[in-house]
Amino acid sequence: MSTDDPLRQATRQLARFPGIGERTAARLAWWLLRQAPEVSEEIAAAILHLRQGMTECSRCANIAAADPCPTCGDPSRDTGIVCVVERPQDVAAIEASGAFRGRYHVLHGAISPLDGIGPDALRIRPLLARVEQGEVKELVLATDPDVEGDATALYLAALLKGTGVRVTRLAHGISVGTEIEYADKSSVARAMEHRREV
Amino acid sequence: MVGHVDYGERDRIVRLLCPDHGRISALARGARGSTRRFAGALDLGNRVEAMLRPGAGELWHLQEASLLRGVEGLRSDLGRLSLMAYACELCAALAREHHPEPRLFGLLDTALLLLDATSEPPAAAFRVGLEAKALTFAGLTPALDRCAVCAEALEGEALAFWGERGGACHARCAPGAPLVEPAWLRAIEEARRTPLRELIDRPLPAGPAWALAEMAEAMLGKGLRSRHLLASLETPPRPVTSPP
Repeated sequence: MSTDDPLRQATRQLARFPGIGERTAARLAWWLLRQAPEVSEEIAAAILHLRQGMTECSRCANIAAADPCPTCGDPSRDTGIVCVVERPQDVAAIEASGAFRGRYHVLHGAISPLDGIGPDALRIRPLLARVEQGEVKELVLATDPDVEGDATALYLAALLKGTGVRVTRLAHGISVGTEIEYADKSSVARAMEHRREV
Repeated sequence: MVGHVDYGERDRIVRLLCPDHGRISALARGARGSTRRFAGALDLGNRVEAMLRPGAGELWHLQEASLLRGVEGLRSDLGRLSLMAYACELCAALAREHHPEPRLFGLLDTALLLLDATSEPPAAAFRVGLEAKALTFAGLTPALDRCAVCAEALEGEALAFWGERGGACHARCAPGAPLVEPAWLRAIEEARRTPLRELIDRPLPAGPAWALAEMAEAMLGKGLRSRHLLASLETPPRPVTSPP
């Protein structure tokens, strides 16, 4: 087979997907060959449309098919409470919980000292602009409970100090369904620190 | 734990600094996908007991890691958290791979213990003392009493600091290098020799704040990324104006 062989070309391209190795890519390429031609066409069209059809919401920086995104465009949602997340995928995870009826703001990353990612690389200015407009009463910082997420939350909390906006952070601790005996030290320590009255 | 980089969808390559083996990189399979696999042990600054097995090439495989001591205390303060990240990066960068580094390990361990225990970010002498000690333990002791260029004593004339040449020097030997006062050089040498715990609240005379970091970067041939966040915190972020 020459290097221009379509099968090898498809395998090389499919192997660019995260989590897809060379062998899996080859298996997918062979599978595509066995399908009706429309299957390949539909998949190719969907991939092309993904980039063309999705955009960044000018209010919350989430990635959606429309601007404003469905959450920002929904008048029934509470505009006074904004949940700040690192990635668009985090919005989907919180929405799936059904526990939040406010709006979102996506930072598109977290402050990462070792990677040289500082506050300027994140969508922090648009968030501050939303706060300055005066509609936001509470910011829920839903950054990851790791060093980068902590650094980002602390930075935002320092920025918003004295504004009168309530700044909260998602609780951390023992996962639901876990037995305390098997929980790790960090989670138990955080759960103890953030205990609440019942 | 002195660093990590995500690898694929579920794995992570972690960087460890060990007293007996220096800097080690290891593949932690499932570290991103599972909360149980390494259960919070792989966060930056954690002291862990790690079980490793040789992998392909330089990369080890992390079999198990149990947390011995975390740095939960400092994670509620951005200044101390940023300094922790900087200390990890500096000590790891100066450590050799697969070679005993008990002094650099001990220095980092002490620094993290102190940062975790204090309630405020430490004074400038703490960071400078850490840098001077780390350079010394890596065999790169900064020249502070003799000229790094001509090796003559630094007395009675204008002085400068030229990190690329290894420390202080006569201004005439290093045209263009930042000028420094003898009192600043003495304070750096004192910080180098003083235990870190005694530097927590010690001020420093005015001088080039990042001279030793720049020297480390010149010796390593690469930048220390975490120092930019640390430096940016010296100028507090502009607070948001109150909503109407």
